[in-house]
Amino acid sequence: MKILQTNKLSCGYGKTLIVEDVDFQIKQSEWISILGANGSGKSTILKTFADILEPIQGEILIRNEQKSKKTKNEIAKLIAYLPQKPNIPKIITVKELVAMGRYPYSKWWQWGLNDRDLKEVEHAIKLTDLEQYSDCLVEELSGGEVQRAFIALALAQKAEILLLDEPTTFLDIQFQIEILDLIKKIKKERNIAVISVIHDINLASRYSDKIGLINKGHMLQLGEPEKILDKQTIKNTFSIDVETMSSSLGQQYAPYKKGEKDE
Amino acid sequence: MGEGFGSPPFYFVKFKNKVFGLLCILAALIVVFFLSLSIGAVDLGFSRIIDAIFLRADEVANTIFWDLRFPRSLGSILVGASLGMSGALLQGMLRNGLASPFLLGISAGAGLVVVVMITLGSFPLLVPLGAWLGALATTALVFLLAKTRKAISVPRLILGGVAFSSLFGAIQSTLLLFSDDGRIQAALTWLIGSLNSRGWDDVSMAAPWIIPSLIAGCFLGKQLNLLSLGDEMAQSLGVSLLKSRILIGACAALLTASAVSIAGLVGFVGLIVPHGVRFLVGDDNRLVLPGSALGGAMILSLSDLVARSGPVEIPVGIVTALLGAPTFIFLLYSSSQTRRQTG
Repeated sequence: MKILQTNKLSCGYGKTLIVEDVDFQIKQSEWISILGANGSGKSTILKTFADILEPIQGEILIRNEQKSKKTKNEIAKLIAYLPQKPNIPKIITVKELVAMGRYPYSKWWQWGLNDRDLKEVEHAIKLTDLEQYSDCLVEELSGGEVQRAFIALALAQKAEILLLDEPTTFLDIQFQIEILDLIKKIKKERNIAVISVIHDINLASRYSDKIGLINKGHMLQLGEPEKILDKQTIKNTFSIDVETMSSSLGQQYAPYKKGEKDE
Repeated sequence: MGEGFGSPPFYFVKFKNKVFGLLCILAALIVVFFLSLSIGAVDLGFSRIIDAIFLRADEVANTIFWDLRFPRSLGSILVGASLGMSGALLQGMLRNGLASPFLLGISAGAGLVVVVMITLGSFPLLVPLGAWLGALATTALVFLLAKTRKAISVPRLILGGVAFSSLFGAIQSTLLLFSDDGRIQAALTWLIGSLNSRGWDDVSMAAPWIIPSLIAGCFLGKQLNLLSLGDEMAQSLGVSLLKSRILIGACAALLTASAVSIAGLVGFVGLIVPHGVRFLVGDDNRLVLPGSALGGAMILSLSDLVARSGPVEIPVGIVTALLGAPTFIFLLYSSSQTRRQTG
């Protein structure tokens, strides 16, 4: 079942158009990664889905209902978003951070968490393997653990769609794999849809069910990695040549500059 | 947030210790409140205060208690609580530890109206009301300047406040330059901040605005906590940047304007108290906000007690600055020492 789709969506900052006429759709428990060069509009799409930016034209449907007719709180219960580099408050424990994910469910007068909130927070912490860090300060954790804590926050939100803007950018290769494995596990257990922006073509194609290729604000293609990723489509998207090779992990892509191979 | 200070020792983070920190501030406030009722030109002992509360004491004690000390102490608590909470609200909203209640042009707006009224000698009894209106009108202007389609821009808010402060400050200085000495003295006392001879009239005018705003402010802690994650993250959790910033700004402006209408421009309380409170209870704004209100009330009551304890009463604004600046430096030094030891 389609959980989110767009019809001729155009979006940007203020009146500046960044993304034009995008038709996009994602089903439940599907993972789509959006690939494209810097400035192509990947994050803009994600922010528009997350209700941080407003569409300039076109519409977004969540479970066949117009997103524009929903309140901010209703959207927050359906869509969780993690920005590239969230701000970390100075003196906050992992549990306190994760508890913030329950905000869309709390009443204005509610000061603390109720039993259901506590259960969700504990479950999110367990799912992200952070139980032993529950009472630790977030600022004292490693990069990978911080990212896991923010993913736990998004899980506590109990949303059906998880938007991840470059979740692995600031992590070393060990933590990159750890985080992507975690997202895969969560997707399976919670049956949620994941839309991510990932720069690494190899990791994106290995973990995602589908890839969306975007260039200068236009969605060039959306489909399964092995069907749409080839030398030509990658060149159209990134303006760079790639060498492809098969491996036990699937197709691998090695980018190079023209002339580099001859040296 | 909490810029300028490192993390306090980890044990402060535990919830029980946070609440303990809050209770310590409350206990200190009760002690200072009692002292401010007791100490003065005529000292009142504990039993005399109790008698005066029930109008059973001698006439002098009853008059001193009900007409002089009690309204003044209540005034200092209301002003201090307002400035403390307003500072915490603005530091949280702007994610800037240097934000004070006067950042958004509140002092400039109130100051200009008051200086105009004093130098022209018009409606002297309406000076507190004028200050209140001037403060709110300037804040509204600053917010209008900072409003974008879907949010309130924080940099524009700060720059707007700075611009109005400069403009109104220049007009104030010009007016003072051409005034006679008596009026300059009156205006300066007000600009520095004083609680001298404040009574029931001042308290009853400001309290109906301050008390509901203090209660409303206590419920804004959750939103401030979310804003500390950054604008995008807060929005994705269902926070409307426009609504929340207007709500927080309006609450802070009402508190500060009402405090200014009683005591003039008392500096440093709103800037320093939230930092000291964070040192005790951590960064959770649900505790920082009530803690800053209690802390502000305690510090201003103590400062007022000091201000009126000497042979000549000095404006309380001078005491808060004299006590506040070294305390700020001490807290800064001790937190950097803690950081060095722990890490």
